[in-house]
Amino acid sequence: MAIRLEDLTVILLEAVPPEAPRAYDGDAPLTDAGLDSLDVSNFLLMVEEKYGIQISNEEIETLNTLNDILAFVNARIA
Amino acid sequence: MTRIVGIGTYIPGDRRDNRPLCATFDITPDFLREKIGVLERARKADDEETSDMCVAAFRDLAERTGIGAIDVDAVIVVTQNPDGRGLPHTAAAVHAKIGANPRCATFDVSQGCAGFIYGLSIAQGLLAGGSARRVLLMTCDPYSKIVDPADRNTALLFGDGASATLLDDDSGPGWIAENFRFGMLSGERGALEAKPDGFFMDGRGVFNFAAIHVSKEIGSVLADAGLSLDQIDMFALHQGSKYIVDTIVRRMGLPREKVPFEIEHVGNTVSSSIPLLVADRLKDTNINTMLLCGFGVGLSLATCILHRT
Repeated sequence: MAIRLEDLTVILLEAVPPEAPRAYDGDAPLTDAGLDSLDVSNFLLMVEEKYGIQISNEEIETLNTLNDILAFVNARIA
Repeated sequence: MTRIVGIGTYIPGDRRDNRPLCATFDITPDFLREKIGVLERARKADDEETSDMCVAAFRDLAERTGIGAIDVDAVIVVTQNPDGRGLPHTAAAVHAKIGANPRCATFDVSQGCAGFIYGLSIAQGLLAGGSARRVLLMTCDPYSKIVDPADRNTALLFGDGASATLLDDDSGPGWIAENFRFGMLSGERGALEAKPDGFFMDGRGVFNFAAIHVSKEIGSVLADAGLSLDQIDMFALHQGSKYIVDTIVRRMGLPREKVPFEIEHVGNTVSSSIPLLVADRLKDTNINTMLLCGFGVGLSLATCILHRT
């Protein structure tokens, strides 16, 4: 079953520090919301664990927004 | 019975300030302080060898414990950045420089950030087998020998330091190390590698390893020992970076006050990071049980529990 943007947002809010933003635009780069490379790495690790997928370093370079990640995950678990 | 008697330390006086380098590496001062956690790095002198740093740590140990070099039966040096090219072994140079007993075993152990715990296990083996009565376990891995100052993944992270730990077969007051557990993820051994063109670190690979495997390993060691998180007074985790330590704390729900992070003015000293944390706390009577966990090069990890006797 395909996951939704809300599912990713729940994981993201667990991954980022408490002082990070609580709302995210699915089409905006995560770095625009103040996340740094380590926050994004931690978030993607949690996504990998949650959905049992692997994301290569090359693939990470293409995943800039939540919607990018959503499409990627849904393609992998389809 | 084998025990840890004391730990001596050495951190070179020279510092390299990371703060002016934020712009060069396109990071913010907040990222430097809160994620890397290293404001300045300890740096050995250009003509200071790995063995010289071990000798300095031994002098500190001698002051703390009263041990003389002539009393030591074995010298172990944990390093992957030895004197010269590693032949002869750095422990032989240390043996000569401190004037140790001629009837003394000397060897190096090639291990990285998990190396102190490997060394404790090996030292206890020598003592338990009757091959030695007093073992000098040293750690010193000066990454300033191999890190490229222009490499954004490593240039702001590593500092130089050394430790010297005395273990003996006496039953007097001290610390016992037990519940050793080792682990490997050798398929990822390229994540930290000294290549012909320089030292390489896959930061994401190392982070994932620490986040996933260290947390599980600590849980397994506690289960094997029949201990709960509450029964550990201090978690001495390898000081890889502030973000790695914070991530392990968050994933395991560890009490933050029990997990020191103290490399802001030193840097990640590889196999010395844990003994640098532990050395002064051996005398802290509020601490009776410590869990030590080192992780890194290999990728390998090693964990044990120290109990005050």
